[in-house]
Amino acid sequence: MKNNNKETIINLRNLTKNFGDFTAVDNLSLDIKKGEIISLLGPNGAGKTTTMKMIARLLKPTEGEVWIKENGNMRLLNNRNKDALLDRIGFLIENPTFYDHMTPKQILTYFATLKGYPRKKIPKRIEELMALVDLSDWIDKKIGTFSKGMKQRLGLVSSMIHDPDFLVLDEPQTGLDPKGRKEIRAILVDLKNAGKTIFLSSHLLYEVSEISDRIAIINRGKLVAFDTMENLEGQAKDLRLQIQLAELPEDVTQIIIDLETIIRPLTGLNKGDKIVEFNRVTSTFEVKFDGKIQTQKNILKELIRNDIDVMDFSVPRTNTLEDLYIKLVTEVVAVEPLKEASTGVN
Amino acid sequence: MGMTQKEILTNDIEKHEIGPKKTLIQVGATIEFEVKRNFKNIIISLVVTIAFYALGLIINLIREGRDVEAYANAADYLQGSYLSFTLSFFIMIIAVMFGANIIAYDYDKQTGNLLFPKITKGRLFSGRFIARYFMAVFSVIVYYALIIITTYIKFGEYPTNVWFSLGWAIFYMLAVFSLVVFFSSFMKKSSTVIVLSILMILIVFQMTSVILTVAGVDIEPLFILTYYSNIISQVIHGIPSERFIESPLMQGPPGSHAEGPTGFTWATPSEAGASIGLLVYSLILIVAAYLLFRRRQQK
Repeated sequence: MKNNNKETIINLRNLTKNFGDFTAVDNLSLDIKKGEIISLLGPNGAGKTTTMKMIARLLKPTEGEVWIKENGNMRLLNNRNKDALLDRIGFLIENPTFYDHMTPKQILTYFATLKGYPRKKIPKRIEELMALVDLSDWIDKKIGTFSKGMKQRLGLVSSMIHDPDFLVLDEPQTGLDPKGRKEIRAILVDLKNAGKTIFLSSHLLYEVSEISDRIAIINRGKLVAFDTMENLEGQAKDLRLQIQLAELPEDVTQIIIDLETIIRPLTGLNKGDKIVEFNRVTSTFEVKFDGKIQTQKNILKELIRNDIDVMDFSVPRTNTLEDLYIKLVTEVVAVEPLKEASTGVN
Repeated sequence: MGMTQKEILTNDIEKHEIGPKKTLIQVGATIEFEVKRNFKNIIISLVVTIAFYALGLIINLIREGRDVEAYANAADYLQGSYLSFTLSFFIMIIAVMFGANIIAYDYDKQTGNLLFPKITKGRLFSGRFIARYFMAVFSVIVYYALIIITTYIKFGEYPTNVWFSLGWAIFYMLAVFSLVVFFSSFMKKSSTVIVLSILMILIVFQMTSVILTVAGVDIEPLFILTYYSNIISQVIHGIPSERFIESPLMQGPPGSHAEGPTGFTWATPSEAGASIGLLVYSLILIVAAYLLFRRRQQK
């Protein structure tokens, strides 16, 4: 995906948020370009919601700045201009909580009016958006009777009610069943196709890898990776290549030795550790390589030339990304205790 | 008939600039929403209003049943039955009912996450304050309507000073309501605000008043909010020229002449003192509440 030429509409510069001695977000810098879906991915407690809240100015950054484009110029977000700068942004922060004894119609009418949506068009807008998230029959019901998933969908509607150009969505798929999650993904893609920019957070890799243009991985408040899906996959692909044979030989050890001999010179890796391992769960051979497409081609050709009956030869997309995600997150976790020991943070 | 999903999402309406009218529109929308949101509270406050009115009626019936000297006129009847302690207590209950959750609720229940990015805190505060204060005032007006009608039925007239009393009650409500809002601006839970407000009004202010009297301090207690409530009932007869009573603190045996220190019990503030005091009290509390609310961050 080519993002370099797109205009940046939000820029986070060295954003830091401390709660006492605890650093929730640590020197985070990101740029969000128009028309993109950017995902902030990280485990629970990584600092995703805190980042979202600083963009919404619900929290004031301890250090760093949020810049937002307005009328062609980047402007620094502060308390004085937040009303104007946040006007075209729709927010869904944390699990949405509404006034339980009110109805969606009453609350959405209020939100739309606050944002200046044409008053006469509000009832129709509410009906359409509620239908979009399958809540048509609940427009006039008290929100206190809603399930968690229904409140989540209503939260999404509340963020879109004024037709914003940019959406900041904090874990929008939380509490939804698989069908609901799929529907939300489809809505997000349609929003993107409609020219909207989306910045969403999640701790579920699969949910974001399907729809994101770029993924920012955050852990313990620190940005550990921020790149396009292709580049992240490229990083991930240097981990493993999966080979499944037509028939599994009785002597797996021998075939590992054979594969090592055939493949090793082509992997692009230095001599050292074993490069071929057998995964007993999937009954596949996993081969470490340098991640390059050409290397994959060479290995496959060589296997065929040596009459190895290859039935499946692939780099599993989610698995490799998951590996990368876990690796990045674990690396920070491994480094952090050393720092914490010196600062006294538990 | 219906639009497709994509059409809904690409709903390219005329962009919603509302320019200089934005403040008015947002404050207006907030007032409208608050009235809907507090509809149940309005009903409950009316029930409370009728209950306080009924309490005055019952006390009066008991009094008549015990052959206690009847009220000489409509003004005495109004003051004795409905405007003394019960009214200031009623005002406190109503103020707490509408003011306690005005800010604290959005932080306690996290509803602010959805709301605060959509409206500035200044506009939200203004809209809510106006809506809830007028809902509280509505209860006071209903209460006065009931007692005026009852007095008219009983005496065939009502004292015209009752309108001044209503004016002071509305003004006093502003100060009490501001105090509750002030607590709501920094407390975590609405329930804590309710307890703290009632404690403050019923115990702290009253205790301070008693301590000042016992200590023989003769300065007018203009810093005690509840002191201003006295004018609501006193104004029925016009503001008395003697605004305090000086009496011996130590009572000797019956018939003996008490010697020793005297204490000042302040009966009522002057009109000018009450106007300035209530205004200053309200302004300081409203501004402090707003500043605290503006600085307050989500969890």
